[in-house]
Amino acid sequence: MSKRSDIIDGTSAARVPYGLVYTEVLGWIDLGHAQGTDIRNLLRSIDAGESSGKEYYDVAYSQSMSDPTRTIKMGKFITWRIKCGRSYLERKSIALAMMMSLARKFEGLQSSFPISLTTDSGFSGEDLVSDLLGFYRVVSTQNPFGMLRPVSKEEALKRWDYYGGIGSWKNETFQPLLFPDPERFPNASPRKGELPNFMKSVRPWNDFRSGIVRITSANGSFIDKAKGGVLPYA
Amino acid sequence: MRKSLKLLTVLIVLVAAALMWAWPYVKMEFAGSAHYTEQDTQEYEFYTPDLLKKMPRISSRYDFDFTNITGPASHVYAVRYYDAVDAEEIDLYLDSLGYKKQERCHIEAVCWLGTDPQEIVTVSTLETPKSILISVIYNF
Repeated sequence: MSKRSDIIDGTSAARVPYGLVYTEVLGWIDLGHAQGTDIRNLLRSIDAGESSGKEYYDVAYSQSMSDPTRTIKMGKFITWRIKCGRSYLERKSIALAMMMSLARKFEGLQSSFPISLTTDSGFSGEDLVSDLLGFYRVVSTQNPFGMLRPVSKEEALKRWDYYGGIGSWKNETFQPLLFPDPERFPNASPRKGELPNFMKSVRPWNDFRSGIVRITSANGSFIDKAKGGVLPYA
Repeated sequence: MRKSLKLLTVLIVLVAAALMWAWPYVKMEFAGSAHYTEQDTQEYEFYTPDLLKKMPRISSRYDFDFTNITGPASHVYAVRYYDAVDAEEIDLYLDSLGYKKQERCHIEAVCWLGTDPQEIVTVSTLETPKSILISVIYNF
């Protein structure tokens, strides 16, 4: 759940692991979501499967939330069975499809009762596009912010104050949601933007008929201890 | 007053007192993020990991952040030293605790890894405002 006090200056975007910035190209970006650590781990487990020597291997991907004391975590997971022999491009394509499929399920969990009572984060306008940016920071360009044109803190605060908190603007797609400068475009309302080319370079895997990728868990849920928990990989 | 009514009143007062005492902790437990200083004792004690509590204060002006990132889940605990430019003391401190400086980092900062595989420490040099930000990231 992003707050006004989370907003930072755009010049810091590439250098910090958390905070909220506004970019001209992707709209609001939650830098915590855009770290890409989940994608790095996912690609690593696909690589491990490829070198396991098995004809088929299972890969799980999860998203979750935990309380500040790191007592429990709860979330969603999916498991796909992949036929060995995937090229590097196919691995990226499978990883992207897994992330996109699960991120929607997780945001759905956050917007469902009773979790929706504690947070407005479910499908918050910046979540999915920030997840997607995290993916491309791993597979393509680590510092894409030169292309995304982040604005200063003052400019970002101006948009927040004019349009309201980003949590109240929902976005169930991976398309950017843009908030035009209220001083240059009075009476403007938020509009969908276009993803930049570098964020369209991998196509999410969509062949589930040939037997190369099979879905073994389509919509798993889990609750586990946050420190040293083993689910959903048990 | 009937005895049962007296008992009920006492019970209500007790429950209200317990709720009032617990409320700041309930609020902190559900917070998505927090911004505080060392003088905000409740937040400082609740959120701040020992690594940041014992870290050398390389500037007299500093404050703390906690961020609970859901989805690609992680918690970030951070201290920001304003007007600081030299992180050498921080490097020595992390090194003395057995943290190893990494050649690569997932952001434009210096990454350090210790023995906990879920933890990454990053040291970022920032321009606006001029500061050094040390973040402890726990990934889930």
